[in-house]
Amino acid sequence: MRWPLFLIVAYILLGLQTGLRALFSFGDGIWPDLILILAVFVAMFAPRMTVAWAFLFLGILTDLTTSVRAGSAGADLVLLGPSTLAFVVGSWVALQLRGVVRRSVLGAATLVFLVGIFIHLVAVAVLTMRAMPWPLGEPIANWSAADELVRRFGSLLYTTCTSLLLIYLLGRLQHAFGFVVPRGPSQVGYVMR
Amino acid sequence: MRRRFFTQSRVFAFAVVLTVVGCLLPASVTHSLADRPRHLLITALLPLHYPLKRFSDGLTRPADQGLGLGTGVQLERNYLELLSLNAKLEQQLYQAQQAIEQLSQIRNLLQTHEQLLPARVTLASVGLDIKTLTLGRGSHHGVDQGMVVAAGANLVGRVSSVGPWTSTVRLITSTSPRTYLSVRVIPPLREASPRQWDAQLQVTDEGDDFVARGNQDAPVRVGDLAYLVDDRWPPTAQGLIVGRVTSIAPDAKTPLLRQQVTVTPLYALGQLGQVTVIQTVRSETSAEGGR
Repeated sequence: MRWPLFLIVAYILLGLQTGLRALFSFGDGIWPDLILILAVFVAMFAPRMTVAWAFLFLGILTDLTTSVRAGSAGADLVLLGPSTLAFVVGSWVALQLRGVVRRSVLGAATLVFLVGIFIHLVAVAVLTMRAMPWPLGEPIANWSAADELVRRFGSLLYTTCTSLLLIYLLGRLQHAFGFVVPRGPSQVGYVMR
Repeated sequence: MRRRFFTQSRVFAFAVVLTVVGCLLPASVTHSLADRPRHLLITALLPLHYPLKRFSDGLTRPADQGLGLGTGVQLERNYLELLSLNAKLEQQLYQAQQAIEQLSQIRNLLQTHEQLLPARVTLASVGLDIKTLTLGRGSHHGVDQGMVVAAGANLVGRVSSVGPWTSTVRLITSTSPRTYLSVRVIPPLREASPRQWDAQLQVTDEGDDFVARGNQDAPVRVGDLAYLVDDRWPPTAQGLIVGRVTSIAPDAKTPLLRQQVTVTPLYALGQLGQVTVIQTVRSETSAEGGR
């Protein structure tokens, strides 16, 4: 995979995601996660370690653009870890499932949904664990794991619908990314290492 | 054959271990590690954020000025170009007039030595019950954490985090329903029999307005203005306008005894294009301090 192009696309998508969030959000905090779509696109074509590093990087970006209210003072804080760990787990899930789904727009959207479920579950679990007396005992203000899961599931559905278009557009760039797709009859499963 | 110790897998495993450790660190530690990279990332995204925000605001906010171009068939091409140029100049003039009005309002209100720093809003974000604005001003411009941010004489919020060239403002509508703002509600114009009402505002569930509960005979009317009189805010914020009373209705639980007063900010805080940071002069820092 060509990392410079990946970084440029990640920059553009992150800018669109954060800059147009107010325009494309529904209700209370439901917006599409373009970074997740990019991660799944990379997972469909790139080698294993490349996928892992890409997911780790995108997880860090997600953490850096998210702030939570934690501690007794209720300060706005950036937590570097929850989304990063969630994306690492998501990379493992993506690597397991990419051989199962068909390499198509619908297959990619399915993979976005499935990987997103695991990512959001892990992220909410890590954020919820902060309230446990050990090791931290630092609950997040107004935190409800159930509410957060519902909100994230709504975002995931929105992201899955958005991925139908975005995966199609990213697919036009797969050669620019350096993803070599073998020609021939449509294959089931995944061959590239 | 010698084996490399630092293989990709091992380095990645180490990164994962660091991530797990990061999840277990106290919030203050992880925030101090991530705050600077976060602001660098926001600074890097500025070239995208500002035009996207203007585009977004243009779609969500009704146009204040409508240009009647008439039937295009009858207009000359240079006339259309002149109209377009005129619209741009009018917009720039409007923005400049807004900035001048904001600064003069604050200056008249404060009458102190605080420095007023105009700042452009590059991003308005909502997430996890927090509403923030990102400004294109940071520590290099003299912005410090805790400084009060206003739009004219209207209170917008406080600076919650500062980077070298950007800063984040937490809006007053970002407070949780359990916290409150102490305000004094008085008529906008002087009346024959002066009245005032001290209230505590709480953010509504929708997050755009405030509500306060008072007795049925509370001296408040629709149209009154709510001014901040909260000791937990710095002196520079005292007296700034929180909002206007937009509705008064019987309280749901005790309709005969109490009433519910709704206060709405005068501006849509998430759609502000420019704000003013009230910089406290260091040599005149109040001994009482804020929070």
